[in-house]
Amino acid sequence: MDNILEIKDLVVRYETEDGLVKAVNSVNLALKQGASVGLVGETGAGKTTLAKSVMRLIQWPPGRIISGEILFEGKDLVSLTQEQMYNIRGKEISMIFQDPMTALNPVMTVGKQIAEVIGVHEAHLDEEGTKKKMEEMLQMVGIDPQRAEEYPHQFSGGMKQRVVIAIALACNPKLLIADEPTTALDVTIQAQVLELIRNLRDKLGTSLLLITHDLGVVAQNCEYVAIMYAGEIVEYGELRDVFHRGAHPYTKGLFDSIPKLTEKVDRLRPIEGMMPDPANLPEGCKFHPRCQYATPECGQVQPPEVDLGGGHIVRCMRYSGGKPIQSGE
Amino acid sequence: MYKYVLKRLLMMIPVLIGVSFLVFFILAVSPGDPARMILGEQATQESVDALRDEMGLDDPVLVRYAHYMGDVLHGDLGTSYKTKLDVLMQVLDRFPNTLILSVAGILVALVIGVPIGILSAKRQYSWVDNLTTVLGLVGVAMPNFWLGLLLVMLFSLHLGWLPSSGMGEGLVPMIKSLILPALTLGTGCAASIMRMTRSSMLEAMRQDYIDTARSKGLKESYITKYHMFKNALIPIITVIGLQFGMLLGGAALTETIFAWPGLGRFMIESIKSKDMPMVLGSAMFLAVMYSVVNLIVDILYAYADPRIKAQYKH
Repeated sequence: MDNILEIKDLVVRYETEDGLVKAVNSVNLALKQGASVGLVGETGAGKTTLAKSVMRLIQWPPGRIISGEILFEGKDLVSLTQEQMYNIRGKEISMIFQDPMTALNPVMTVGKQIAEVIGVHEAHLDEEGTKKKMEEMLQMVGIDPQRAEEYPHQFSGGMKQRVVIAIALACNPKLLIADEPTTALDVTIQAQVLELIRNLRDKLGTSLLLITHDLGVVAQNCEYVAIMYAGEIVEYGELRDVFHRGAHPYTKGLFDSIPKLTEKVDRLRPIEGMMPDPANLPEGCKFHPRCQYATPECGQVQPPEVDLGGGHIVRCMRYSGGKPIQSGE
Repeated sequence: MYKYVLKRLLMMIPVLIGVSFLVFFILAVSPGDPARMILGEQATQESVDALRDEMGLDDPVLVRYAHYMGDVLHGDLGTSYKTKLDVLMQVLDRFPNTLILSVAGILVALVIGVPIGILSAKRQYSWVDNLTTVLGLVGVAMPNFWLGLLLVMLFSLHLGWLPSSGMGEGLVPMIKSLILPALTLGTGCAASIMRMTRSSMLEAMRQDYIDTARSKGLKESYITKYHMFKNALIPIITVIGLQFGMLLGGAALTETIFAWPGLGRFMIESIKSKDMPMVLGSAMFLAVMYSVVNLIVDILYAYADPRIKAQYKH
């Protein structure tokens, strides 16, 4: 099995009082065994929804997976029952959540919260064995096992995120989904947490789907990058291809809005406009209202996915058959 | 924690002074002459005046209050005007009956309220939720005495299964006579507890740590019990404590309907006969009980939530 995870044409919707929120719109994404993919996009682009869909954590109401497949080791997760998912979650696929401050149960000791996942998936371990494994996990993420009996409020933010990581990795999952694992942390702690994840991946060989809006984090941790905009993956490829030969206007815009050390810039160039409301997406290419290359066609036709070579995929009308269309720049 | 409990016990003193003063003052200004009540309508004015003088009823209110509190500090709640019996003994005699009824009532409320509250939160907006919401509102809105009368009509008059009033002698008759008043008391409380359980569960279900729990592969029933319900407990404990306190003090109506020999009914009889020491004594005793229940609730918080326990250490 080459791809550990393959998402095909995934569509996720939330039905709210304000209307139908099109959070994820026919997303295709593949993750190679042992590789790490960075999923980049603005807040509200649908990154977390995509991640939760893989875990089948989208709760109805208001959200549900409308169509598509999520193949994990060739098995379609969308068609599994909740009972079958119990054996996947925490054991095969784990997730680290965005905000460690709220991701832990405040009335349960951290030791118990780690032991729970071990207890569910490693039935051969008795109580003593579970406890020993739990203490090993704490040790592994750099927390004194003596603190197992303490509650989350007695830990700092960075320590809590370590506990969350210990929970996620306790049963050696094949795939780890990290949803902005460092966004809520101080910069110094961010580096520690990322290094921790990296070391553990090296040791355990876990595949990683890293969700972030920080391109620097992606550059340091991922081999592949997917750029997400308004519920779609607009560009996907190897880190080098996307970072150096970014093809989609949105990708370019993202990189232009980061200050560079090597160039003297008076003023950053942000992308004009706002991301569209996912309850009210534009026709055609979702990015065309903000795109400087937009043609009338962009407002009518949904751009196809085009392979620019070597798995570098872009969704933009400027590229057809792998070649950029003359846009009259 | 011990320091905290001690502090809370000391804080009961001003509460008791307030309660006693209020009740004393209200009784003092309310119409009717205790001396006349004791001696009856046929008694001569002279004998009534003599008794008033003997009881110190002609002294200013504050002086009488001071006398009364002086006695209370010595553990003497006075003697009944009517029966000439010691008030404290009379209160202690009846309180266990009220306690039994209140505990039974709150158990009924818990058994009905908590599971249904959890169920309707888990199935928010489903027909189960809608039905229980309507029933809950009916339960809250329905006057206790009316429900009590309906229950008596059904189970005592038509079916003849359960006694309609009084407290049975011996364990089985006692439990049989307890069922109807406990149901009557419990229904109203069940509705409040159910609504609070529902909203508190809905709040807990929305939290991020529920996603974490689900992502571990834990079963939904386990998550409901250990992650949602445990976090939803604080408001539920609060409402249970309040309801229980209300039952202790406010079961008077139900006790009257079912002729249950509890403190509430006793207090109403005392008010009717203007038996001031009895009313005062009962009121103060209930105030103490209410405060104790509140204290127990606060201590339970610490067991439900380690963050609160941490605060008590200071």
